[in-house]
Amino acid sequence: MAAAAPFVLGDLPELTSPDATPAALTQAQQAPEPSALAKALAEGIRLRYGDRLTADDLRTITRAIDGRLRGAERLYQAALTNADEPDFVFRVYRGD
Amino acid sequence: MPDDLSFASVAELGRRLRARKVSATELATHFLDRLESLGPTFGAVVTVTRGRALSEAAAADREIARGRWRGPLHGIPYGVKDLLAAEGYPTSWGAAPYENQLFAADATVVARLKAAGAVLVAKLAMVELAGGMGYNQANASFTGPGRTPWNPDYWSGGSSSGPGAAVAAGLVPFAIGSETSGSIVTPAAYSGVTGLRPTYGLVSRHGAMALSWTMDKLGPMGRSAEDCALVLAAIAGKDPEDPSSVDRKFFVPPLRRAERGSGGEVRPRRKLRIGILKNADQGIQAEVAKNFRDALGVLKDVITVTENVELPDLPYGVVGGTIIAVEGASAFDDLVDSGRVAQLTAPEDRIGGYAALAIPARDYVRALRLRRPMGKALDALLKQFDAIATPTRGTVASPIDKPFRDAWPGVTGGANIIGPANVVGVPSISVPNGFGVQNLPTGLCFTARAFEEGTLVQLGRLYQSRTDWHKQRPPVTA
Repeated sequence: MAAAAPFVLGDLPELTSPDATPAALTQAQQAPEPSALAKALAEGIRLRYGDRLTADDLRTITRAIDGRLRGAERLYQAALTNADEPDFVFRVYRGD
Repeated sequence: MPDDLSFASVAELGRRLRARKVSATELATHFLDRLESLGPTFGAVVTVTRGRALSEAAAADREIARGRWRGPLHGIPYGVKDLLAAEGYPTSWGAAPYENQLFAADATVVARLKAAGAVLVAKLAMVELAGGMGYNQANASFTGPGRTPWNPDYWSGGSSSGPGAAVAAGLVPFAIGSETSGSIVTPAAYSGVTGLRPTYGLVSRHGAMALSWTMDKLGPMGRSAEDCALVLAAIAGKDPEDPSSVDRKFFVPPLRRAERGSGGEVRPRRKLRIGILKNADQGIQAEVAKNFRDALGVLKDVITVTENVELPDLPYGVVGGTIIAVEGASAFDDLVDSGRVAQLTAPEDRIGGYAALAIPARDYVRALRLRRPMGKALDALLKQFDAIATPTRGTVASPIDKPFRDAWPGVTGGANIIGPANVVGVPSISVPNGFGVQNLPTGLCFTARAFEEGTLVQLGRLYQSRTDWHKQRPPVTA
């Protein structure tokens, strides 16, 4: 399994992650029909970059978006409150 | 020039330099010649920096002759992953579109190593864009796949493939790699060397290619934990040019006389507490699991083990994946938007960047918000132990000619801490702990709380003073 950014294509669960289970792998390998939302988001990519992407490329991208959308559901299963801020701090700049 | 120099430790090379048994110029020439003759065999090198190396080595020789000693790296040759800027040479990021890219100044890490008297001999190969476009095969660099010197039909790991292969083959005494999620410890394991991924912010990223501003780390890869500690001490610390760098230094943990056993083995003043993740050795290759348990057995007199430790149930994988994908898409926005991404080597890398453009801002910010409670939860776990131990990877290296997903069918991966540790930015060390399928090396990984690199080095010392896996040499002939 690759190190670095295995979620970019989104259809391959990261083996190094606790999220990656045999069930998840099987699910990805079976490649169900992408959701309507995935198709809509992929259409946005096609409208912008369609002149350089083949039909196969767009199918791969659609599957990748679909896989990522399914994974992203876990982002919303963990509870957060209004006070949970993003883990970065903006610092105002003042030059010399 | 005796070939025992090729695999000597930094400390041993330093002793020879101080005793005037070898000069910095002779050392540099020795490794430059090996890089040129053997580097292509392992896909390890992008650029041999001969002119700069001989100039830096001559300067080191002049200083040493005058009695000025800068420290343990003075006169020692090294290589950097080709995502670090070095004045006078291209910095390719492993990618054809950037093959001739030049920067006017050294990266902070390169500048600090120069200040320590080290001699840059090579820009080393890497997976294109540090894997940011989602590669799924070893052949994902314009210089070709990195090959482990233990068997060149297999990968040296990524994305620091050149540093792993070059250290393992005795082409450099140490190297600097980078890790966003696995890119130091993986090639360390696959190449049979020691890799130390520092806490996020301990080492300046200034002058390094950005894949993920909030997850990228730079760290040493070398022959031993001791060597990695010597290098980390030279490169750690606050850098005004990198706002994420922290105002902390790293000091090599002292080794007191009382800690040395009669057989040379290191004995800690107290037993170290080690947690083992539940299922850490399940669902992985049998040889990897055996080497892991054997390694713990080697340490049984100096550690106490708690089995079945469970990570807090949080979505580390999707949080890390979302952050890397979005930050990577932004970092390489011009590459994707211009269409030059089509020049990348791996076919999947040519289209991987487009899917990331469809990730909503809501998901990215959510991932960043989850990161704080995730960090607190993991810290609460880690502080119960000196370190968590895992096999570095569940398998040995993948064959060069197969996609990763087809490399080792049936291996589901076990429980691994690489993803969670990288998301929250805590450090790990990987040390060689034996050989598995096809006589390929395996790794033992320790992960600790933020800024506990000293503990990791101590654990590496304990293990490496009792074993000689880190002294094994691959069948490499110049």
